[in-house]
Amino acid sequence: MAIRVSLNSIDKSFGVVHALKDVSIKIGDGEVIGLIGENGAGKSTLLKIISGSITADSGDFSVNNKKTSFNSISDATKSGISMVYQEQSLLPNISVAENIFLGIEGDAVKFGTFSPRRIRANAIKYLDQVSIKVNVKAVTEVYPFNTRQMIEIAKALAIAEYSGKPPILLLDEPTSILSKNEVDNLFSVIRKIKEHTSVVFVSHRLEEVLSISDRIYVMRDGEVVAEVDPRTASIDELFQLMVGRELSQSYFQEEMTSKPIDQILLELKNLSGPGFKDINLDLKHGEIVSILGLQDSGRENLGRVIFGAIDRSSGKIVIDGKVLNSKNTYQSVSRGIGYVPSERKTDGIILAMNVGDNLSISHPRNVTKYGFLSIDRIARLFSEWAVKLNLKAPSYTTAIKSLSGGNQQKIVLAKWLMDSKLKLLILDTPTRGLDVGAKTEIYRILRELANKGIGIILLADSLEEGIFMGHRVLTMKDGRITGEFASAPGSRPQRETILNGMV
Amino acid sequence: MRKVDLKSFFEYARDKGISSLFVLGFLVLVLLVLEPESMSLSSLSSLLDQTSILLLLASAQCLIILMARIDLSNAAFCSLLTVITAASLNNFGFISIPVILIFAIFIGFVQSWFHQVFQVPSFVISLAFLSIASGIALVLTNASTILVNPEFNFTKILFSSPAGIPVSFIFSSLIVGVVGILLIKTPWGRSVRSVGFNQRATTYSGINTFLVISSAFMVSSFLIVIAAMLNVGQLGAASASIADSYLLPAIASVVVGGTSIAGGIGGIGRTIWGVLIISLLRIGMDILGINQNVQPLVYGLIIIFSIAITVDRSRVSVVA
Repeated sequence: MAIRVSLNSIDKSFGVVHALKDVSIKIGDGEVIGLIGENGAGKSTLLKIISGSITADSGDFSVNNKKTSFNSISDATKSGISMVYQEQSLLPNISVAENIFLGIEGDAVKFGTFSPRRIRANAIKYLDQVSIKVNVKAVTEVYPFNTRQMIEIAKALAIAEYSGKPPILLLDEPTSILSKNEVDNLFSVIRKIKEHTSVVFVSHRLEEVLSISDRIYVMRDGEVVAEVDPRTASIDELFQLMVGRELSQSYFQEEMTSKPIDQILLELKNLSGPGFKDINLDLKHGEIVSILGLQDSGRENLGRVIFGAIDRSSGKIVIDGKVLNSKNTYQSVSRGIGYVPSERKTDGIILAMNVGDNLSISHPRNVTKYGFLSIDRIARLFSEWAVKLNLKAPSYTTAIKSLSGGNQQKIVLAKWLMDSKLKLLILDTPTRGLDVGAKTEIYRILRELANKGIGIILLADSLEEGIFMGHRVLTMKDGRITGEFASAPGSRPQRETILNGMV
Repeated sequence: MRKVDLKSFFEYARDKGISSLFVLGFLVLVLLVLEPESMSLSSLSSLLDQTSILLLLASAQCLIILMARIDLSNAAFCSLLTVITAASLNNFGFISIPVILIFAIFIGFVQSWFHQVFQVPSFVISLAFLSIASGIALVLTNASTILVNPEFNFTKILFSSPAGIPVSFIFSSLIVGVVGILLIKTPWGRSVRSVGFNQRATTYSGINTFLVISSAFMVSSFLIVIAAMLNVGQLGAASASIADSYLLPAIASVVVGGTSIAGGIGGIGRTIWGVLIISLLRIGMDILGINQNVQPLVYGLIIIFSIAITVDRSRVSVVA
């Protein structure tokens, strides 16, 4: 098998952070390489070097047996390398066909104007490769996320093939928000394009990596710690290599489960709002209620309405016996409600600010002296929470965008946890896109909060998470609650029962 | 290799907000070499004297730009307030001063209320306010000049310069300085910047963004009304478009100083440097005797140059 890409002793640092240490990997022709590691292990940095968006500090990098050093993404695409990003890069308001050939119109351009017909014909060729049927004339945004992801892969193939060399596709966590069926579909596409394409597949889901890869590299703390043959490896083995410790029996920290206090914290009475109707719910102090539902179930907006981020249309919210009539988030926060939004980077944190500011933004009184922000108090607050939540961040002055997703999410949590009056925490898919280690830590934090009597509404990211984290599991469909199931260690509701309530 | 160092040096300076100082230094140097006498104490003093109003209006604009918004009514509102101050001093005496202060701040609130409740972009709402303010000012003055009764030349003292230091400049610097410190040092200031960076995330952090935005508009109006009162004191007269020409220089000062038009980055400190650059540029060209017809051209070129080295173009977005 011919080697397409080979990296030898690659090193890369960002300031004081040593992101990659002596990393060597090879990508063969038609090979699917699995790349796993916790957040912050260096996977993204490695992909960025291969795709040309950053340059290594030292080490050898050769593509197609030629020593190279990419200065830009377009250098990489000229060698057939193309990346499919976690955040999609398609433009929402142009047609599917135009998106696929954006910037590489090639033979569709005649005398400076391009022929839409030709572009469409070419687009269909690539869409066939990823086995989806879409109207190439349609505006891209009408398609759901999973379809857009396939379009994105078709686009990456088109870009890579435009170089005239067999494509090398880099897929950065393509499955993180796909359903089981969609993942299967993606895998059959990968198996199909493998004939002429090399693929690097990054995922947090170890069973997926095992099933699709020909070879697996495990990264930890900026190093490649192992090269694994998926035919002989097990999930436990991979996990152990990845986090450097054993997969504990209680991924969901079940042994920390506590009993809710027999006192109602939150009552929703016939609450209606955009996308949901007539919701009735009682939540006790110290209780975790998971709500499971598909995209249009209305659960996201339910969470936002309770937090006051959007207006309800009718109904009552009662907290500790007192009616909450909040019209904005500020009033809800002063009543002891916290909210963790699902879009961490755009809604959860202020990406351009530093760690200290993000940490203390919701409760500035914790860091002021005579009404003025005190650097001292910010620094102390940071060290306090860095210890409590095992935060990996050098200092409160660090830019929050340089932290890994898990650490960013811990800061979003910390900004609510520091409120001594916190009663209710609403979390919208708080573990989305986090690695296994970070997820367990978030679960531990949630259990501890419940222990302290704080009520938790968890809009769970996966069935398992909802079932195993909740004292109760609610299912929602089309804006209404369709089922309610008690859940305790040893007597969890069946996946199938829950699914019935969701679809 | 050397080129890379120069680049990272500029980036460092930009991050620290000091690159506008190079432009300022460059302008001073040019003047020193070409017209050494121009840098005398008295001419500096008169430079600062003429800077006060621009400083106040630019700082008012800076607050709004920090929130990724823009206030086009800034200068026209100042004209209107100048007219109102002159007219009511003549008719009602000193008692009108606090009333006008409160009125101005209230109008700032009204503007932000329309902007937020009806979700009209600040660009549009302030354009409407510009027109309304100019219209009222024209009606009030009947398109002529109002002379202030000499007994009310109270602010004349502000335009004296004991020991060569213009009092007006010290006065406006003090007010602007307090606002600047509030911006850097208080949770309110941090919220203003955080609204500029990302209003949604700020809301989701439980901050009352309505209040933050309204209060920033009100502080901005406060700075504008102070500028209007200084105007009355300095000129002893008011006309409907007396401060209108400050609109673009004020915006230019904010941007040249290094405050990001996309919001979040910047502040009063940078705006002060921007104001000095813009003032020095206008006065300097006169001192150097540059042909009046060529002046706008030079002015434009220098602004492009300063923005090129002070503005972080990695964060480009649209003004809300």
